[in-house]
Amino acid sequence: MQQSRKHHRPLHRSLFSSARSVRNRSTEVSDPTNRFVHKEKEPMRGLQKFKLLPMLGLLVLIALVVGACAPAATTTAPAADSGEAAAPASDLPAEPGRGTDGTLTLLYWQAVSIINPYQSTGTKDYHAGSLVLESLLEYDPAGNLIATLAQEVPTVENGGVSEDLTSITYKLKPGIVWADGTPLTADDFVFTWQYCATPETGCTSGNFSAVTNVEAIDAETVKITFPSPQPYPYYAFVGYLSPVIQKAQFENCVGAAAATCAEANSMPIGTGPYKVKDFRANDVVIYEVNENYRIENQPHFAEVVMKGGGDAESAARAVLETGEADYAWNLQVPPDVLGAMEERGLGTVVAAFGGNVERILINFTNPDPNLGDARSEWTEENPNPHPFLTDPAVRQALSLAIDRNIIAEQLYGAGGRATCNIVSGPELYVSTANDACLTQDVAGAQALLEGAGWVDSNGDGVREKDGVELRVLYQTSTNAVRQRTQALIQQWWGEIGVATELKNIDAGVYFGPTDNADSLSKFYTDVQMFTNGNDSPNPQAYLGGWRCVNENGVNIPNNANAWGGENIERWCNEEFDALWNELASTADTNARIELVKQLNDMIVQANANLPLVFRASVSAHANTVAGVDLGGFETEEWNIERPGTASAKGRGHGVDRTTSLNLLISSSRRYRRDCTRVGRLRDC
Amino acid sequence: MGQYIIRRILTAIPTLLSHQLDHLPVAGPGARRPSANLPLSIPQEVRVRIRESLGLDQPVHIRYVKWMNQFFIVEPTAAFEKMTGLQIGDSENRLRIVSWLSRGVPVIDLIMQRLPQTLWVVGVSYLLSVLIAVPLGVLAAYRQNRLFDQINSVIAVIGFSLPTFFTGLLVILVFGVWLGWFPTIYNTTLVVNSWDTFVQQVRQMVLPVFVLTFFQMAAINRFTRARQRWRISSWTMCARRAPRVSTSASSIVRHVVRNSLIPVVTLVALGIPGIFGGAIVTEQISASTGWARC
Repeated sequence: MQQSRKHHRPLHRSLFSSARSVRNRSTEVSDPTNRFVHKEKEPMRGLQKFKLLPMLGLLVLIALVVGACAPAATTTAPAADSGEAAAPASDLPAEPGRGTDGTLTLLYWQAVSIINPYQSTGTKDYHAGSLVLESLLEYDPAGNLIATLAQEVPTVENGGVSEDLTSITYKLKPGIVWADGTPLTADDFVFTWQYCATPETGCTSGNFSAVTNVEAIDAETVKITFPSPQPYPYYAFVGYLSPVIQKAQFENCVGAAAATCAEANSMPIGTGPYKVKDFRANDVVIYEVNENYRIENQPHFAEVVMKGGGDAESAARAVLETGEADYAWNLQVPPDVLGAMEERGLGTVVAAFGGNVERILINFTNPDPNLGDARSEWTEENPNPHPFLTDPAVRQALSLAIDRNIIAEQLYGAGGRATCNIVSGPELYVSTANDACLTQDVAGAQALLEGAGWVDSNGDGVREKDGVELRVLYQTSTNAVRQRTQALIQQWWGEIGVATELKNIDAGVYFGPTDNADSLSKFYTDVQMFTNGNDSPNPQAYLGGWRCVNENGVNIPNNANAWGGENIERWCNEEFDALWNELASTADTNARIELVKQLNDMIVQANANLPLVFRASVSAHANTVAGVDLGGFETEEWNIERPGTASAKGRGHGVDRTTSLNLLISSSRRYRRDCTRVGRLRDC
Repeated sequence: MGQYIIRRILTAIPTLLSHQLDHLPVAGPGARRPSANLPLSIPQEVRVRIRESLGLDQPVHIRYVKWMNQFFIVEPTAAFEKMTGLQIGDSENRLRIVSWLSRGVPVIDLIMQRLPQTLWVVGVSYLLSVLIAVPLGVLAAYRQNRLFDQINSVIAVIGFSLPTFFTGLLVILVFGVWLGWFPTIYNTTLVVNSWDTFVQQVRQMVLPVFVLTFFQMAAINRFTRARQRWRISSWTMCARRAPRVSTSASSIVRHVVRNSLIPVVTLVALGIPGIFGGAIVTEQISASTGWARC
């Protein structure tokens, strides 16, 4: 006690003396021991601080006033901007021709790193390549095939596809030359296939996977042979994923040398409307007109600049708010932010719907960590069933409890529509049998669980049956929209007595190599969520992913196949496999559509997979570039080549500009097949 | 002293080595290893062959020596050749450090391509910040606690506390979007060859330079002021003041500024690497599509 008192005393004294020193500054100064002049200032400083406060307050006030005034000033700004932007348009010659329409600036915030699509892993690179390189056929937005380098789309009827469906023969349009003036021949196609078929090349396109041979019948005829009948043979040299590259340029780039061919990879010579003028990896690509382009008077833009860097929001701002660029791609911006930008009236937000669906996958195997290596492990001998998700009533209830419209509207905006189908595009394949799920039905879900014997007997808010509680672990990648989706669903599931624990994983790990326990293929949780979709307008390969057994064996990721299988839900249905095999051997289009719908319904009605949102790639274009919505100009570029199509009729400059743009937009709408896992389960 | 310097240099070597080993793509699973992003459609054995072709199957120490060779001999030689146009040995087949993402473009080339851009913005902003901050700091110190000093302090504290990504967004919003005075996109391919393009270059540099200057200026300003205060209130100045020796501007410059600027120079020099970091943030976040992304 004594000691503590001793300690207290000096403390009190020092406090007192310091207080006194403020009050009686003069005594301190006269203190002869205090020799340093600057000590005099010490108490002054303390007083000055009090003066600083009002100063700061004043500053904040000024800032507020300026802030409040600024929006008023903006009302004039857009007008000035649009005037500026419109000015060059009026300088354009009345009749559009080759290179008459000036420069088109496209913003790709994910900057282009390589232009050779066969070495690329990113969508942005494919887009950059599609201006230069072409393939034999292209898809229009509806999923129909259009001949580009080929004279026509080969079919069994016109003799292009052999009767036994094991080969397809293309005739090239006559007189096509590369940008360097040399003729395009069938040899270039043979070479392209060899380039990609050499494993060491590290070709990232899967479009040649079912090809056994590509041969040149003559200089203008290419024959592609398959090992087995292909009811849908349009993969090799179809779409922007497998264009033809020039043999002369890439001859020394086959195999391991492919990755070091800097010149060829960044400036490929193509047959397309543009050629690369300047390319800075991860920054900018500048294209100029290919003078040897086969269509007269096209392309209309003299120069195209594909500018990278920044982020989605700044790209959107540059098109919608400042008018500095004409087009911005892949705008992953919150819907309300994008909407506010669009209101300035400089540009328009457009959505390109492909086949991507954000979905919740149900784990049919038991992911209990106590099982060790055997968790989520499926084998034919031991399917390792999940304790409660194998009950159809539980899965159905989980689906019913979700309000898909809220997720789509609130979190995706223009970039998404609520959906109940895993095949949500192209339109002609979409089933209408499951639309009931669009309406949330919490009461129905509760009744369903009640009826199946899941009741909350101990009053903790979680239903149980035979000692098993409805507790799920729900994983997805780290992404603001996904976490908000998770939170909504957690709440809805809570309402029906299912307790949900949330988990999110870095995208690089989650979508990355399967040797990580957190990879989506290992699926060490009860449910998980990501986006996947049919990469080709033909959903056959995509649907094949739900087979239990495929041509390589077990299609369910497990230890034996190093988690390489596609059926991540571990949902096994022999009936489905049989029906898919029927699809794989049916060539008739209408029959195929019916089969696709049935397969879709089978998965969805089993609730093996709960589709949530049909996702689009959102882009924005300046109003000076297009007066047209996306649906209006998608087909234009491709129609122009076809005789008898009146696409050239009565167009002004606005529409004109879109014709060239169309190339890009439709390429974003075209589809990919067999592409990378990272690419397929897109998280871009 | 000499011994001390030698000792410091010697201890720096193991530090650097461990850092390098850390950055080398040391084998083992990881989402970011160079071959990890190969599509899964590529069969495992091909994947292995690709890894082998990259030399990733060799032991760490071999790869490390090879990397040292590339970093300290091959790349400097290549840079030297590029600058002088001379050819040293077999420059075609030299194994360069290449960018995996762009398949074959040497990394140093990419950096060299971007460097001028960044240097322009960074250099100009740093020069400006020193030119503005030092006189302001001196004046503020001399007029301590007067209105000028207070305003200066408020601005400096604001500049110092606001991160560049915030001020960057702010100026873009105000001057780029609302007022429309300056572009929000930096055109990296602009070639200055006429008055118009020069004006364009200046206009696109204004916002990034302002953001970086504002930030850098604050620190130098505060530091200069503190050093000045310390000098002004020192014995020497006290003595000078006492017998009515002039405290004119020239006296201040001679006896205060000169002496007190020595540590400021150190600070300025030490700040140069830091501002590159700031520039990267500014380039990435605030300026729409990259002010010279490196």
